[in-house]
Amino acid sequence: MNKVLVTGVGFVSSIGVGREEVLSSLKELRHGFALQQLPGDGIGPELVCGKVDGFDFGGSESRDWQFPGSDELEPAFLSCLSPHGAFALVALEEALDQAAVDRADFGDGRTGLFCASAGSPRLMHHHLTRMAATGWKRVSPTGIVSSIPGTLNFNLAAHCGVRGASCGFVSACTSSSHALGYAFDEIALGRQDRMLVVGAEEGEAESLLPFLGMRALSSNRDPATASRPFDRKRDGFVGTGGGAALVLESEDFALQRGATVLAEMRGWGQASDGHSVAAPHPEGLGIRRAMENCLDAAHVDAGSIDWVNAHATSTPAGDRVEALALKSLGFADEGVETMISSTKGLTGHGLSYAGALEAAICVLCLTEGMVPGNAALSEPDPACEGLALPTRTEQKDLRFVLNNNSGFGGSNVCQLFAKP
Amino acid sequence: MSEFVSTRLPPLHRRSEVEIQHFLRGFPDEALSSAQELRTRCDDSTLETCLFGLLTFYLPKGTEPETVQNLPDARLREDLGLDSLALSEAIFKIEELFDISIDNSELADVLTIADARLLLMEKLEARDE
Repeated sequence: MNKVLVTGVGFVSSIGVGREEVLSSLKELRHGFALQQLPGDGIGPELVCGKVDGFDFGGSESRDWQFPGSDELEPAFLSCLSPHGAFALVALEEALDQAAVDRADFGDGRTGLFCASAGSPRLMHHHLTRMAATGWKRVSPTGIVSSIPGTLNFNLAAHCGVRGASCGFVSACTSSSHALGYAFDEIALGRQDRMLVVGAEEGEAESLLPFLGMRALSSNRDPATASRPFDRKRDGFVGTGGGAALVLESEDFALQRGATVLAEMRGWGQASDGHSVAAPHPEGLGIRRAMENCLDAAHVDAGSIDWVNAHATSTPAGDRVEALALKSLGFADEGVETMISSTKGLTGHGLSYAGALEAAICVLCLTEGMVPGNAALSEPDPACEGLALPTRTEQKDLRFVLNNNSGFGGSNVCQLFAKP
Repeated sequence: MSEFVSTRLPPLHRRSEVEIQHFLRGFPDEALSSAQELRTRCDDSTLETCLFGLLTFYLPKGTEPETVQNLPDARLREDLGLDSLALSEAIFKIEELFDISIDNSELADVLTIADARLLLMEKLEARDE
Protein backbone atom coordinates (compact mmCIF):
# COMPACT_ATOMS: atom_id res chain seq x y z
CA MET A 1 0.00 0.00 0.00
CA ASN A 2 1.33 3.43 -0.92
CA LYS A 3 1.62 6.08 1.76
CA VAL A 4 -0.73 9.01 1.04
CA LEU A 5 0.44 12.58 1.62
CA VAL A 6 -1.37 15.90 1.54
CA THR A 7 0.54 18.55 -0.40
CA GLY A 8 -2.06 21.28 -0.88
CA VAL A 9 -5.25 22.66 0.62
CA GLY A 10 -7.57 25.45 -0.50
CA PHE A 11 -10.45 27.25 1.18
CA VAL A 12 -13.49 29.27 0.27
CA SER A 13 -15.44 29.53 3.49
CA SER A 14 -17.47 31.75 5.73
CA ILE A 15 -14.38 32.26 7.91
CA GLY A 16 -12.16 33.24 5.04
CA VAL A 17 -11.09 32.76 1.46
CA GLY A 18 -7.60 31.30 1.45
CA ARG A 19 -5.44 29.68 4.10
CA GLU A 20 -4.29 32.88 5.79
CA GLU A 21 -7.79 34.17 6.48
CA VAL A 22 -9.02 30.78 7.66
CA LEU A 23 -6.04 30.36 9.96
CA SER A 24 -6.54 33.79 11.45
CA SER A 25 -10.25 33.12 12.08
CA LEU A 26 -9.49 29.78 13.71
CA LYS A 27 -6.89 31.35 15.99
CA GLU A 28 -9.11 34.24 16.98
CA LEU A 29 -12.36 32.21 17.02
CA ARG A 30 -13.94 34.61 14.53
CA HIS A 31 -17.17 33.14 13.15
CA GLY A 32 -18.43 33.73 9.61
CA PHE A 33 -22.14 34.24 10.28
CA ALA A 34 -24.69 36.96 9.66
CA LEU A 35 -28.44 37.21 10.04
CA GLN A 36 -29.71 37.12 6.46
CA GLN A 37 -33.04 37.02 4.72
CA LEU A 38 -33.31 34.06 2.37
CA PRO A 39 -33.88 34.40 -0.52
CA GLY A 40 -33.80 38.14 0.01
CA ASP A 41 -37.14 38.75 -1.70
CA GLY A 42 -38.79 40.51 1.22
CA ILE A 43 -40.85 37.43 2.01
CA GLY A 44 -38.37 34.73 2.99
CA PRO A 45 -37.38 34.05 6.58
CA GLU A 46 -34.43 35.60 8.37
CA LEU A 47 -31.83 33.06 9.43
CA VAL A 48 -28.29 33.10 10.68
CA CYS A 49 -26.19 31.66 7.83
CA GLY A 50 -22.59 31.52 6.76
CA LYS A 51 -21.50 34.46 4.62
CA VAL A 52 -18.71 34.03 2.06
CA ASP A 53 -17.04 37.33 1.18
CA GLY A 54 -15.71 38.22 -2.27
CA PHE A 55 -18.29 36.30 -4.31
CA ASP A 56 -21.26 38.06 -5.89
CA PHE A 57 -23.82 35.69 -7.38
CA GLY A 58 -26.54 38.27 -7.93
CA GLY A 59 -28.55 37.64 -11.09
CA SER A 60 -29.57 34.32 -12.50
CA GLU A 61 -26.87 34.03 -15.13
CA SER A 62 -23.20 33.40 -14.55
CA ARG A 63 -22.13 36.32 -16.75
CA ASP A 64 -23.51 38.57 -13.98
CA TRP A 65 -21.32 37.02 -11.29
CA GLN A 66 -18.12 38.38 -9.88
CA PHE A 67 -15.59 36.26 -8.05
CA PRO A 68 -11.80 35.95 -7.93
CA GLY A 69 -10.60 35.12 -11.44
CA SER A 70 -14.05 35.29 -13.06
CA ASP A 71 -12.95 37.87 -15.63
CA GLU A 72 -10.37 35.47 -17.05
CA LEU A 73 -12.77 32.58 -17.65
CA GLU A 74 -14.21 31.73 -21.05
CA PRO A 75 -17.90 32.72 -21.25
CA ALA A 76 -18.79 29.22 -22.43
CA PHE A 77 -17.06 27.66 -19.39
CA LEU A 78 -18.52 30.24 -17.04
CA SER A 79 -22.02 29.40 -18.25
CA CYS A 80 -21.44 25.78 -17.15
CA LEU A 81 -20.70 26.79 -13.58
CA SER A 82 -23.06 27.08 -10.65
CA PRO A 83 -22.31 29.31 -7.68
CA HIS A 84 -20.76 26.40 -5.82
CA GLY A 85 -18.78 25.57 -8.96
CA ALA A 86 -17.16 28.97 -8.58
CA PHE A 87 -16.40 28.24 -4.92
CA ALA A 88 -14.88 24.90 -5.93
CA LEU A 89 -12.76 26.40 -8.70
CA VAL A 90 -11.25 29.08 -6.47
CA ALA A 91 -10.51 26.57 -3.67
CA LEU A 92 -8.92 24.14 -6.12
CA GLU A 93 -6.71 26.83 -7.63
CA GLU A 94 -5.36 27.66 -4.17
CA ALA A 95 -4.68 24.00 -3.35
CA LEU A 96 -2.90 23.45 -6.69
CA ASP A 97 -0.80 26.55 -6.18
CA GLN A 98 0.24 25.44 -2.70
CA ALA A 99 1.13 21.98 -4.00
CA ALA A 100 3.14 23.65 -6.78
CA VAL A 101 1.68 21.19 -9.25
CA ASP A 102 2.58 21.32 -12.92
CA ARG A 103 -0.86 21.19 -14.51
CA ALA A 104 0.57 19.89 -17.76
CA ASP A 105 1.03 16.58 -15.92
CA PHE A 106 -2.72 16.11 -15.61
CA GLY A 107 -2.81 14.82 -19.15
CA ASP A 108 -0.79 11.69 -18.38
CA GLY A 109 -3.69 9.89 -16.68
CA ARG A 110 -1.93 9.58 -13.31
CA THR A 111 -3.91 12.41 -11.69
CA GLY A 112 -7.57 11.93 -10.81
CA LEU A 113 -10.34 14.12 -9.46
CA PHE A 114 -13.06 13.21 -6.96
CA CYS A 115 -15.71 15.79 -6.11
CA ALA A 116 -18.69 16.12 -3.83
CA SER A 117 -21.70 18.26 -4.59
CA ALA A 118 -25.40 18.30 -3.94
CA GLY A 119 -25.90 20.06 -7.25
CA SER A 120 -27.36 23.50 -7.55
CA PRO A 121 -30.98 23.58 -6.40
CA ARG A 122 -31.02 27.29 -7.27
CA LEU A 123 -30.05 26.80 -10.91
CA MET A 124 -32.23 23.71 -11.25
CA HIS A 125 -35.18 25.76 -10.02
CA HIS A 126 -34.28 28.63 -12.34
CA HIS A 127 -33.91 26.52 -15.49
CA LEU A 128 -37.04 24.43 -14.93
CA THR A 129 -39.14 27.49 -14.14
CA ARG A 130 -37.89 29.17 -17.30
CA MET A 131 -38.47 26.05 -19.37
CA ALA A 132 -42.03 25.68 -18.07
CA ALA A 133 -42.68 29.30 -19.09
CA THR A 134 -41.85 28.40 -22.72
CA GLY A 135 -44.18 25.39 -22.70
CA TRP A 136 -41.21 23.09 -21.96
CA LYS A 137 -39.74 23.92 -25.38
CA ARG A 138 -36.66 25.94 -24.61
CA VAL A 139 -33.96 25.56 -21.98
CA SER A 140 -30.39 26.68 -21.61
CA PRO A 141 -28.01 24.07 -23.05
CA THR A 142 -25.86 24.38 -19.94
CA GLY A 143 -28.81 23.92 -17.58
CA ILE A 144 -27.92 20.30 -16.86
CA VAL A 145 -24.15 20.45 -16.54
CA SER A 146 -24.35 23.49 -14.29
CA SER A 147 -26.97 22.18 -11.92
CA ILE A 148 -26.97 18.41 -11.43
CA PRO A 149 -24.87 16.88 -8.65
CA GLY A 150 -21.99 15.87 -10.95
CA THR A 151 -21.45 19.49 -11.96
CA LEU A 152 -18.15 19.84 -10.10
CA ASN A 153 -16.45 16.81 -11.60
CA PHE A 154 -17.79 17.55 -15.11
CA ASN A 155 -16.49 21.09 -15.06
CA LEU A 156 -13.26 20.77 -13.12
CA ALA A 157 -12.03 17.64 -14.91
CA ALA A 158 -12.54 19.32 -18.27
CA HIS A 159 -11.19 22.69 -17.15
CA CYS A 160 -8.04 21.22 -15.60
CA GLY A 161 -7.48 18.62 -18.30
CA VAL A 162 -7.61 15.71 -15.83
CA ARG A 163 -7.34 12.38 -17.64
CA GLY A 164 -7.22 10.03 -14.67
CA ALA A 165 -10.22 8.88 -12.62
CA SER A 166 -13.01 11.41 -12.18
CA CYS A 167 -16.16 10.86 -10.22
CA GLY A 168 -18.70 12.57 -8.00
CA PHE A 169 -19.88 11.42 -4.60
CA VAL A 170 -23.34 11.98 -3.18
CA SER A 171 -24.00 10.97 0.42
CA ALA A 172 -25.35 14.23 1.85
CA CYS A 173 -23.13 15.51 4.66
CA THR A 174 -20.54 12.76 4.22
CA SER A 175 -20.18 13.35 0.45
CA SER A 176 -16.80 15.01 0.45
CA SER A 177 -15.55 12.73 3.24
CA HIS A 178 -16.37 9.82 0.96
CA ALA A 179 -14.64 11.56 -1.95
CA LEU A 180 -11.55 11.96 0.22
CA GLY A 181 -11.67 8.39 1.47
CA TYR A 182 -11.97 6.85 -1.96
CA ALA A 183 -9.30 9.21 -3.29
CA PHE A 184 -7.03 7.85 -0.55
CA ASP A 185 -7.76 4.33 -1.81
CA GLU A 186 -6.91 5.25 -5.41
CA ILE A 187 -3.43 6.26 -4.32
CA ALA A 188 -2.94 3.60 -1.64
CA LEU A 189 -3.80 0.90 -4.19
CA GLY A 190 -1.49 2.38 -6.81
CA ARG A 191 -4.22 3.29 -9.27
CA GLN A 192 -3.29 6.97 -9.32
CA ASP A 193 -0.25 8.99 -8.25
CA ARG A 194 -2.21 12.08 -7.38
CA MET A 195 -5.83 12.85 -6.52
CA LEU A 196 -7.56 16.21 -6.40
CA VAL A 197 -10.46 16.23 -3.95
CA VAL A 198 -13.01 19.00 -4.03
CA GLY A 199 -16.21 19.60 -2.11
CA ALA A 200 -18.51 22.57 -2.50
CA GLU A 201 -21.96 23.61 -1.50
CA GLU A 202 -24.15 26.51 -2.51
CA GLY A 203 -25.63 27.51 0.85
CA GLU A 204 -28.32 29.61 -0.82
CA ALA A 205 -32.05 29.75 -0.11
CA GLU A 206 -32.91 26.76 -2.32
CA SER A 207 -30.25 24.64 -0.59
CA LEU A 208 -30.92 25.64 3.00
CA LEU A 209 -34.59 26.50 3.38
CA PRO A 210 -35.84 22.93 2.79
CA PHE A 211 -34.09 22.04 6.07
CA LEU A 212 -36.71 24.21 7.80
CA GLY A 213 -39.17 21.44 7.02
CA MET A 214 -37.03 19.06 9.04
CA ARG A 215 -36.75 21.62 11.84
CA ALA A 216 -33.00 21.14 11.60
CA LEU A 217 -31.92 24.80 11.35
CA SER A 218 -31.15 26.98 14.35
CA SER A 219 -33.81 29.61 15.04
CA ASN A 220 -31.38 31.58 17.19
CA ARG A 221 -31.03 35.04 15.60
CA ASP A 222 -27.73 35.86 17.28
CA PRO A 223 -24.82 35.12 14.90
CA ALA A 224 -22.48 34.75 17.89
CA THR A 225 -24.38 31.85 19.44
CA ALA A 226 -26.59 30.28 16.75
CA SER A 227 -24.03 27.56 15.97
CA ARG A 228 -22.89 26.11 19.29
CA PRO A 229 -21.96 22.45 19.00
CA PHE A 230 -22.11 20.43 22.24
CA ASP A 231 -23.83 23.27 24.14
CA ARG A 232 -26.99 22.54 26.14
CA LYS A 233 -28.83 25.38 24.41
CA ARG A 234 -28.02 24.34 20.83
CA ASP A 235 -31.15 24.24 18.69
CA GLY A 236 -30.06 23.32 15.17
CA PHE A 237 -27.36 23.92 12.61
CA VAL A 238 -26.32 27.07 10.81
CA GLY A 239 -25.94 26.42 7.09
CA THR A 240 -23.19 27.75 4.88
CA GLY A 241 -21.88 27.56 1.35
CA GLY A 242 -18.27 27.38 0.27
CA GLY A 243 -15.66 25.14 -1.27
CA ALA A 244 -12.62 23.23 -0.11
CA ALA A 245 -9.93 21.31 -1.95
CA LEU A 246 -7.07 18.96 -1.09
CA VAL A 247 -4.24 17.59 -3.19
CA LEU A 248 -3.24 14.02 -2.23
CA GLU A 249 -0.15 12.32 -3.62
CA SER A 250 1.66 9.04 -3.14
CA GLU A 251 4.79 9.39 -1.06
CA ASP A 252 7.06 8.29 -3.91
CA PHE A 253 5.49 10.68 -6.37
CA ALA A 254 5.51 13.66 -3.98
CA LEU A 255 9.09 13.14 -2.81
CA GLN A 256 10.35 12.52 -6.33
CA ARG A 257 9.14 15.92 -7.45
CA GLY A 258 10.30 17.62 -4.26
CA ALA A 259 6.84 18.57 -3.01
CA THR A 260 6.38 20.14 0.42
CA VAL A 261 4.43 17.69 2.57
CA LEU A 262 1.75 19.15 4.83
CA ALA A 263 0.40 15.97 6.41
CA GLU A 264 0.00 12.27 5.95
CA MET A 265 -3.49 10.87 5.50
CA ARG A 266 -2.98 7.67 7.43
CA GLY A 267 -6.34 6.01 6.79
CA TRP A 268 -10.09 6.24 6.83
CA GLY A 269 -13.13 4.25 7.85
CA GLN A 270 -16.84 4.28 7.37
CA ALA A 271 -19.93 2.61 8.82
CA SER A 272 -23.67 3.10 8.60
CA ASP A 273 -26.25 3.28 11.36
CA GLY A 274 -28.80 1.09 9.58
CA HIS A 275 -31.38 2.88 11.65
CA SER A 276 -33.17 5.93 10.21
CA VAL A 277 -33.11 8.09 7.10
CA ALA A 278 -32.60 11.25 9.13
CA ALA A 279 -32.14 10.54 12.85
CA PRO A 280 -28.80 9.25 14.12
CA HIS A 281 -28.57 5.94 15.93
CA PRO A 282 -29.42 6.75 19.58
CA GLU A 283 -26.08 5.49 20.87
CA GLY A 284 -24.01 6.64 17.91
CA LEU A 285 -23.33 3.10 16.73
CA GLY A 286 -22.37 4.10 13.20
CA ILE A 287 -20.04 6.97 14.04
CA ARG A 288 -18.35 4.85 16.70
CA ARG A 289 -17.70 2.04 14.22
CA ALA A 290 -16.51 4.50 11.58
CA MET A 291 -13.92 5.80 14.07
CA GLU A 292 -12.93 2.24 15.04
CA ASN A 293 -12.54 1.24 11.40
CA CYS A 294 -10.45 4.32 10.74
CA LEU A 295 -8.18 3.72 13.74
CA ASP A 296 -7.75 0.06 12.73
CA ALA A 297 -6.92 0.97 9.15
CA ALA A 298 -4.40 3.58 10.31
CA HIS A 299 -2.92 1.32 13.01
CA VAL A 300 -3.28 4.05 15.62
CA ASP A 301 -4.74 3.68 19.15
CA ALA A 302 -7.55 5.96 20.23
CA GLY A 303 -5.40 7.10 23.15
CA SER A 304 -2.83 8.54 20.71
CA ILE A 305 -5.30 10.93 19.07
CA ASP A 306 -4.54 14.55 19.96
CA TRP A 307 -7.63 16.17 18.51
CA VAL A 308 -10.96 15.08 17.07
CA ASN A 309 -12.59 17.56 14.70
CA ALA A 310 -16.10 16.39 15.49
CA HIS A 311 -18.98 16.37 13.05
CA ALA A 312 -21.16 18.04 15.74
CA THR A 313 -23.41 20.41 13.80
CA SER A 314 -25.21 21.95 16.78
CA THR A 315 -28.33 19.79 16.45
CA PRO A 316 -29.68 18.37 19.71
CA ALA A 317 -29.65 14.71 18.61
CA GLY A 318 -26.50 14.61 16.46
CA ASP A 319 -24.09 16.19 18.92
CA ARG A 320 -25.35 14.01 21.75
CA VAL A 321 -24.81 10.70 19.98
CA GLU A 322 -21.40 11.72 18.72
CA ALA A 323 -20.41 12.59 22.30
CA LEU A 324 -21.63 9.16 23.41
CA ALA A 325 -19.65 7.48 20.63
CA LEU A 326 -16.51 9.42 21.56
CA LYS A 327 -16.92 8.40 25.19
CA SER A 328 -17.45 4.76 24.23
CA LEU A 329 -14.02 4.81 22.57
CA GLY A 330 -12.39 6.08 25.74
CA PHE A 331 -11.95 9.73 24.82
CA ALA A 332 -13.43 10.79 28.19
CA ASP A 333 -11.37 8.37 30.24
CA GLU A 334 -9.10 9.65 32.96
CA GLY A 335 -5.64 10.46 31.73
CA VAL A 336 -6.72 10.77 28.08
CA GLU A 337 -5.68 14.14 26.69
CA THR A 338 -7.59 14.09 23.41
CA MET A 339 -9.26 17.41 22.71
CA ILE A 340 -12.65 17.46 21.05
CA SER A 341 -14.03 20.42 19.14
CA SER A 342 -16.25 21.16 16.20
CA THR A 343 -15.15 23.88 13.82
CA LYS A 344 -18.77 24.22 12.70
CA GLY A 345 -19.13 26.60 15.64
CA LEU A 346 -17.16 29.02 13.43
CA THR A 347 -17.80 27.93 9.85
CA GLY A 348 -21.37 26.63 10.04
CA HIS A 349 -22.41 23.36 8.46
CA GLY A 350 -21.28 23.05 4.86
CA LEU A 351 -23.40 19.91 4.18
CA SER A 352 -21.77 18.02 1.30
CA TYR A 353 -18.63 20.15 1.49
CA ALA A 354 -18.24 19.81 5.27
CA GLY A 355 -15.92 16.80 5.08
CA ALA A 356 -13.42 18.39 2.71
CA LEU A 357 -13.52 21.69 4.59
CA GLU A 358 -12.91 20.07 7.95
CA ALA A 359 -10.24 17.71 6.61
CA ALA A 360 -8.42 20.73 5.16
CA ILE A 361 -8.78 22.48 8.52
CA CYS A 362 -7.25 19.40 10.21
CA VAL A 363 -4.27 19.62 7.85
CA LEU A 364 -3.91 23.35 8.51
CA CYS A 365 -4.00 22.79 12.28
CA LEU A 366 -1.45 19.96 12.06
CA THR A 367 0.97 22.25 10.26
CA GLU A 368 0.34 25.10 12.68
CA GLY A 369 0.25 23.00 15.86
CA MET A 370 -3.08 24.20 17.19
CA VAL A 371 -6.52 23.00 18.22
CA PRO A 372 -9.43 25.34 17.43
CA GLY A 373 -11.74 25.96 20.35
CA ASN A 374 -15.48 25.32 20.52
CA ALA A 375 -16.37 28.89 19.70
CA ALA A 376 -19.77 29.43 21.28
CA LEU A 377 -19.72 26.71 23.91
CA SER A 378 -20.67 28.03 27.32
CA GLU A 379 -22.58 25.19 28.98
CA PRO A 380 -21.65 21.71 27.75
CA ASP A 381 -24.39 19.12 27.31
CA PRO A 382 -24.23 16.59 30.19
CA ALA A 383 -23.76 13.89 27.54
CA CYS A 384 -20.28 15.36 26.98
CA GLU A 385 -19.14 14.85 30.57
CA GLY A 386 -15.49 13.91 30.72
CA LEU A 387 -14.67 15.02 27.16
CA ALA A 388 -12.04 17.76 26.87
CA LEU A 389 -13.88 20.53 25.02
CA PRO A 390 -11.60 23.56 24.73
CA THR A 391 -13.37 26.88 24.40
CA ARG A 392 -10.27 28.72 23.20
CA THR A 393 -7.87 27.86 20.44
CA GLU A 394 -4.83 26.24 21.99
CA GLN A 395 -1.32 25.76 20.71
CA LYS A 396 -0.49 22.08 20.78
CA ASP A 397 1.99 19.95 18.92
CA LEU A 398 -0.30 17.55 17.09
CA ARG A 399 0.68 14.08 15.94
CA PHE A 400 -2.65 12.43 15.10
CA VAL A 401 -5.98 14.07 14.28
CA LEU A 402 -9.36 12.51 13.53
CA ASN A 403 -12.02 14.09 11.36
CA ASN A 404 -15.63 12.89 11.71
CA ASN A 405 -18.59 13.38 9.41
CA SER A 406 -22.11 11.98 9.46
CA GLY A 407 -24.95 12.28 7.00
CA PHE A 408 -28.48 11.24 6.08
CA GLY A 409 -29.24 7.57 6.13
CA GLY A 410 -26.84 7.12 9.04
CA SER A 411 -23.76 7.40 6.86
CA ASN A 412 -20.58 7.99 8.89
CA VAL A 413 -17.02 8.60 7.74
CA CYS A 414 -13.83 9.21 9.70
CA GLN A 415 -10.31 10.08 8.49
CA LEU A 416 -7.01 10.13 10.33
CA PHE A 417 -4.33 12.69 9.52
CA ALA A 418 -0.82 12.54 10.92
CA LYS A 419 2.09 14.91 11.17
CA PRO A 420 4.51 13.90 8.39
CA MET B 1 -23.82 35.04 -49.57
CA SER B 2 -27.40 35.49 -50.57
CA GLU B 3 -28.86 38.95 -50.66
CA PHE B 4 -31.35 39.55 -47.89
CA VAL B 5 -34.04 42.16 -48.12
CA SER B 6 -36.33 42.30 -45.16
CA THR B 7 -39.93 43.11 -45.70
CA ARG B 8 -40.78 42.93 -42.04
CA LEU B 9 -39.16 43.80 -38.78
CA PRO B 10 -37.65 41.01 -36.76
CA PRO B 11 -39.60 40.37 -33.54
CA LEU B 12 -37.34 42.69 -31.62
CA HIS B 13 -39.84 45.50 -32.08
CA ARG B 14 -41.91 43.84 -29.38
CA ARG B 15 -39.13 44.26 -26.84
CA SER B 16 -38.44 47.48 -24.99
CA GLU B 17 -35.05 49.16 -25.06
CA VAL B 18 -34.55 48.26 -21.40
CA GLU B 19 -35.43 44.60 -22.01
CA ILE B 20 -32.87 44.31 -24.78
CA GLN B 21 -30.26 46.07 -22.69
CA HIS B 22 -30.85 43.56 -19.90
CA PHE B 23 -30.98 40.58 -22.24
CA LEU B 24 -27.65 41.42 -23.86
CA ARG B 25 -25.79 42.69 -20.80
CA GLY B 26 -22.14 41.73 -21.06
CA PHE B 27 -22.31 41.20 -24.84
CA PRO B 28 -20.15 43.25 -27.25
CA ASP B 29 -21.36 46.81 -27.81
CA GLU B 30 -22.13 46.18 -31.48
CA ALA B 31 -24.50 43.34 -30.55
CA LEU B 32 -26.37 45.63 -28.18
CA SER B 33 -26.53 48.69 -30.42
CA SER B 34 -27.56 46.72 -33.51
CA ALA B 35 -30.26 44.87 -31.54
CA GLN B 36 -31.60 48.23 -30.36
CA GLU B 37 -31.64 49.41 -33.96
CA LEU B 38 -33.53 46.29 -35.02
CA ARG B 39 -36.41 47.36 -32.81
CA THR B 40 -37.37 50.03 -35.33
CA ARG B 41 -35.56 49.24 -38.54
CA CYS B 42 -34.39 46.02 -40.16
CA ASP B 43 -31.80 45.75 -42.84
CA ASP B 44 -29.29 43.21 -43.94
CA SER B 45 -26.22 44.82 -42.44
CA THR B 46 -27.74 45.58 -39.02
CA LEU B 47 -28.99 42.02 -38.70
CA GLU B 48 -25.58 40.76 -39.72
CA THR B 49 -23.82 42.99 -37.19
CA CYS B 50 -26.13 41.73 -34.48
CA LEU B 51 -25.47 38.08 -35.33
CA PHE B 52 -21.72 38.65 -35.47
CA GLY B 53 -21.80 40.41 -32.11
CA LEU B 54 -23.67 37.51 -30.54
CA LEU B 55 -21.23 34.94 -31.92
CA THR B 56 -18.24 37.01 -30.85
CA PHE B 57 -19.33 36.74 -27.21
CA TYR B 58 -18.84 32.97 -27.31
CA LEU B 59 -15.44 32.97 -29.00
CA PRO B 60 -12.53 31.58 -26.96
CA LYS B 61 -10.51 34.34 -25.30
CA GLY B 62 -7.71 35.56 -27.55
CA THR B 63 -9.70 35.18 -30.79
CA GLU B 64 -9.84 38.38 -32.75
CA PRO B 65 -13.50 39.54 -33.01
CA GLU B 66 -12.80 40.80 -36.53
CA THR B 67 -12.45 37.19 -37.64
CA VAL B 68 -16.20 36.82 -37.43
CA GLN B 69 -16.85 39.74 -39.72
CA ASN B 70 -13.99 39.36 -42.16
CA LEU B 71 -13.98 35.64 -42.75
CA PRO B 72 -17.48 34.53 -43.72
CA ASP B 73 -16.18 31.12 -44.69
CA ALA B 74 -14.49 30.57 -41.32
CA ARG B 75 -15.76 27.34 -39.81
CA LEU B 76 -17.47 27.78 -36.47
CA ARG B 77 -15.87 24.77 -34.80
CA GLU B 78 -12.54 24.23 -36.48
CA ASP B 79 -11.50 27.82 -37.24
CA LEU B 80 -13.21 29.80 -34.50
CA GLY B 81 -12.88 27.17 -31.77
CA LEU B 82 -16.55 27.18 -30.76
CA ASP B 83 -17.21 23.79 -29.18
CA SER B 84 -20.62 22.14 -29.21
CA LEU B 85 -21.62 23.66 -25.88
CA ALA B 86 -20.59 27.18 -26.87
CA LEU B 87 -22.47 26.77 -30.16
CA SER B 88 -25.55 25.52 -28.33
CA GLU B 89 -25.38 28.51 -26.01
CA ALA B 90 -25.10 30.89 -28.97
CA ILE B 91 -28.06 29.25 -30.73
CA PHE B 92 -30.12 29.38 -27.54
CA LYS B 93 -29.39 33.10 -27.24
CA ILE B 94 -30.32 33.74 -30.87
CA GLU B 95 -33.57 31.76 -30.49
CA GLU B 96 -34.51 33.73 -27.42
CA LEU B 97 -33.62 37.12 -28.86
CA PHE B 98 -35.42 36.67 -32.17
CA ASP B 99 -38.17 34.44 -30.80
CA ILE B 100 -37.50 31.69 -33.31
CA SER B 101 -37.01 27.95 -32.96
CA ILE B 102 -34.21 26.17 -34.76
CA ASP B 103 -34.47 22.40 -35.18
CA ASN B 104 -31.47 20.11 -34.92
CA SER B 105 -31.99 19.08 -38.56
CA GLU B 106 -31.60 22.71 -39.64
CA LEU B 107 -28.22 22.93 -37.91
CA ALA B 108 -26.68 20.02 -39.78
CA ASP B 109 -25.62 22.25 -42.68
CA VAL B 110 -24.47 25.19 -40.58
CA LEU B 111 -20.71 24.92 -40.66
CA THR B 112 -19.52 28.48 -41.32
CA ILE B 113 -20.37 32.03 -40.29
CA ALA B 114 -22.01 32.55 -43.66
CA ASP B 115 -24.18 29.46 -43.10
CA ALA B 116 -25.29 30.80 -39.71
CA ARG B 117 -26.16 34.16 -41.22
CA LEU B 118 -28.15 32.52 -44.01
CA LEU B 119 -30.11 30.31 -41.63
CA LEU B 120 -31.03 33.23 -39.37
CA MET B 121 -32.26 35.27 -42.28
CA GLU B 122 -34.28 32.40 -43.68
CA LYS B 123 -35.87 31.79 -40.28
CA LEU B 124 -36.80 35.45 -39.94
CA GLU B 125 -38.27 35.57 -43.43
CA ALA B 126 -40.28 32.41 -42.86
CA ARG B 127 -41.47 33.11 -39.32
CA ASP B 128 -45.11 33.46 -38.55
CA GLU B 129 -46.21 36.82 -37.35
